[in-house]
Amino acid sequence: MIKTAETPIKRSRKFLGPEYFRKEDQAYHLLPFRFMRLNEEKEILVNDLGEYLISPNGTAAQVIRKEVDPISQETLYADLLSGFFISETPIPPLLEVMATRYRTKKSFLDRFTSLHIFVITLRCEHTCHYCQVSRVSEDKNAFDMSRQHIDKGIALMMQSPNPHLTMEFQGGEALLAFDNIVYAVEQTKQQALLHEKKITYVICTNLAPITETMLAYCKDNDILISTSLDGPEYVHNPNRHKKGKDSYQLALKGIQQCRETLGNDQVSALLTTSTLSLDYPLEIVDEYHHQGFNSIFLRSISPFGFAVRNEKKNKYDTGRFLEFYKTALDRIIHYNLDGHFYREDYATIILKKILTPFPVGYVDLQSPAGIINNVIVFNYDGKVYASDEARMLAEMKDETFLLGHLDEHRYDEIFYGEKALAFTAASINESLPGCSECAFQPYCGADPVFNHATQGDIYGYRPTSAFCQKNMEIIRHLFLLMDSDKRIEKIFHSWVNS
Amino acid sequence: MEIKTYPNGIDFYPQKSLYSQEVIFKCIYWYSADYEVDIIDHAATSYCIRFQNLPSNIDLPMLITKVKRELHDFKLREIVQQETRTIRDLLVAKAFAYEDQDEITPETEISDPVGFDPLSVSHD
Ligand code: SF4
Repeated sequence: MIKTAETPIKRSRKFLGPEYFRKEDQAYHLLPFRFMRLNEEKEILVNDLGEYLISPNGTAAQVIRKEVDPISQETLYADLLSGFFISETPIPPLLEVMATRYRTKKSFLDRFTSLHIFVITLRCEHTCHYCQVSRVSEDKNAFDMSRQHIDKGIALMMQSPNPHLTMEFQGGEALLAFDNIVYAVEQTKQQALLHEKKITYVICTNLAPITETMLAYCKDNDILISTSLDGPEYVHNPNRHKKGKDSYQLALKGIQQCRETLGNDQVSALLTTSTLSLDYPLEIVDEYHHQGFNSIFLRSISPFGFAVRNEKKNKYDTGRFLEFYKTALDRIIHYNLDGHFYREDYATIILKKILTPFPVGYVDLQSPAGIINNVIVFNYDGKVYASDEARMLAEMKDETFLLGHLDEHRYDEIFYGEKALAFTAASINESLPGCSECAFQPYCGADPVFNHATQGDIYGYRPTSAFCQKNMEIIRHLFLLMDSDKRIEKIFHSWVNS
Repeated sequence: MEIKTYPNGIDFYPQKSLYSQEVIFKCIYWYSADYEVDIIDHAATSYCIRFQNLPSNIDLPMLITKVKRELHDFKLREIVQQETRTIRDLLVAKAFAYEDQDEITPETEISDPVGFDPLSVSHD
C-alpha cells in the first residue's frame, strides 16, 4: 500500500534504547556498598543486601566518581542499577524492597535461641589429643549432669521465644550417660506439649558405645545422630586415641547400624581437622564419598587446646588449613563434575549468603554472631556458657564466657545480662575495625570467643586474626572459582538449593 | 604525595586537604601487623606515615604502590560512606520498623514497558 499524508503512521512496539529514557545530564546517586580487589585483574562490589558485582579493577573508582556512562556502558550501568549499587533518584524508588531484603538477611534474629546444648556427661572412653574436655572416669556423680540440672536446663529452654528448638546432647561421650538422655527427652516431651514447642533432638557421639536398645529409642523419638569421622583409618585412629585402637571400625559399624535402623538421613558425620589431617585432603574427601556421604564439613582446626595466643603459629596453621581446604574443595568439585552430588558444607553456608536472599543460622558466620542468640550451653555442672567453644575455654580455666548458673540465675539474667550485652557489642561485624570497610562483611561473621582465645580481646584485631585470614581467603576463593568456570557456579547453585 | 626514604624506613606525606584522619588510620590499620608504623601529625598541610625498621629485603617500590593504592581506595570508601549515610540509616530504620509485622508488602509503582497502564483497567 502506498502511504499518503492521511495514512496514520504505525507506531513501533519495539523497545526504545536507553538514550530515549534518559534525561539530559542526569547523574546517578550512590547507594551504600563496599569493594575490594579479588586479584590483579578483578574487583568486587558488594552491598548490605548481599548483591555483588565482579568487574575489572578500577570499576568501583569509576562508579564512585560517577563516570559510568549509561549509553556506552549500558550493561554495567544496568547491573549497577538492578543490583542496588546506584540509583537515578536521591531516594531509590525501591527502598521498601531494599528494606525487606535487608530485614530478610537479618531474619535469623527474629526468633532468638534455638540450639540448646546439654553437656550430659564429661565421661569418655576416648582420649583424643585435641580434646581438652573429656575425662576417662567411671565417676558418674562427678562428671554427669544431675537430674536437677537437666530439669532446670529444660525449664530455661522452654522460655526461649523460638517455637523450634534443638536439644543437642554432647559429652564427653554422650551415650555413656544414655539414661540421662532418656530422662531429658521424656521430660522435654511433656514440657514441649505444654509450651507448644517443636523439638529436634540430636546426640553427638563417637558411636563406640551404641547398642540396639539405644538405636530403638532414637528411632522411636526421631533422634538424629551426629558422629565423627576424621577420614581413613590411618587418620581417624591416631586422631581418636582409644584402647584397642578400634575407633574407626566402631565408627563405621555404628554409622551402618544407624543407617539401617534410623535411615540414611538421620545420621551425619563431622570432620575434625587435626594437624595430621592436613596431609590427607584427597584421602579424607574420598573416604567420605566411599562411606556413602554426599556432604562433608571441612572444619578448621580449633585453636582451643593448641598454642592459642601465638599469632605466628596461628597464621601458619591457618595457611596450611587453607591449602588443605582448597585442595579438598577442588576434589569435591571434581566429583560433582563427574556427575556425583557431593557438597562441602562450609562453602555451602557462605554460598547460601552469596547466592540467595536468605540468612544462615551458623554461629560464626552471622552478624550479630550466634553466641547466646542462636546457641547456649548448659554444662554438666550447671554452668551456662555462651557457646561450645566457650565451655572448652572454661576447661582451660578461662571463665570469660560463663553467663551464669542453672541453680542461681534467671532467664533474663543469663540471656540479657550485662555480659551478654557486652558480647553482643563485639559480635556485630558491621562495627568492628577492619570489618566495617570489608566487602565480604555480609558473607562473613564475628567470633568474640575465638578473638578472646587467640588474641586476648573479644573485639579482635583483624590484621593478625586467623578467623579473618581464613574467611577472607575462602570467600575470595569461592568468588574466583565461580567467576572462572560457569560449571562450578552451577554446582554451587545445586549445593545451596539442595 | 611526597615520599622520603632512608635506611630501613620510609615516610609518606599525604595531604590533609585530600585525606582525612579516618582514611589514614583505616588504611594503616592493615599494615600494623607486619610493619612498625606511626602516623604523625606532621605539619599544617600533611600527615606523616612513618614505616620504621623495615627488613633489609623489603620490596620498597611494591610497598609504595600498595600504600598509595590503598590510601586511594580508602578515600573512595569514605566518599561512598559520606554520600550514602542517610540512605543507609533510612534502610536500616525501615527494615526494623516492621518489628511486629509478620510480613512486609513491598510497595512499588507498577509500570509496563509497552505503555499499558494496568491500574487503568476497569473490572466492571
Ligand atoms: S573478619 Fe575479615 S573477612 Fe570477615 S568481614 Fe571482617 S575483615 Fe572481612
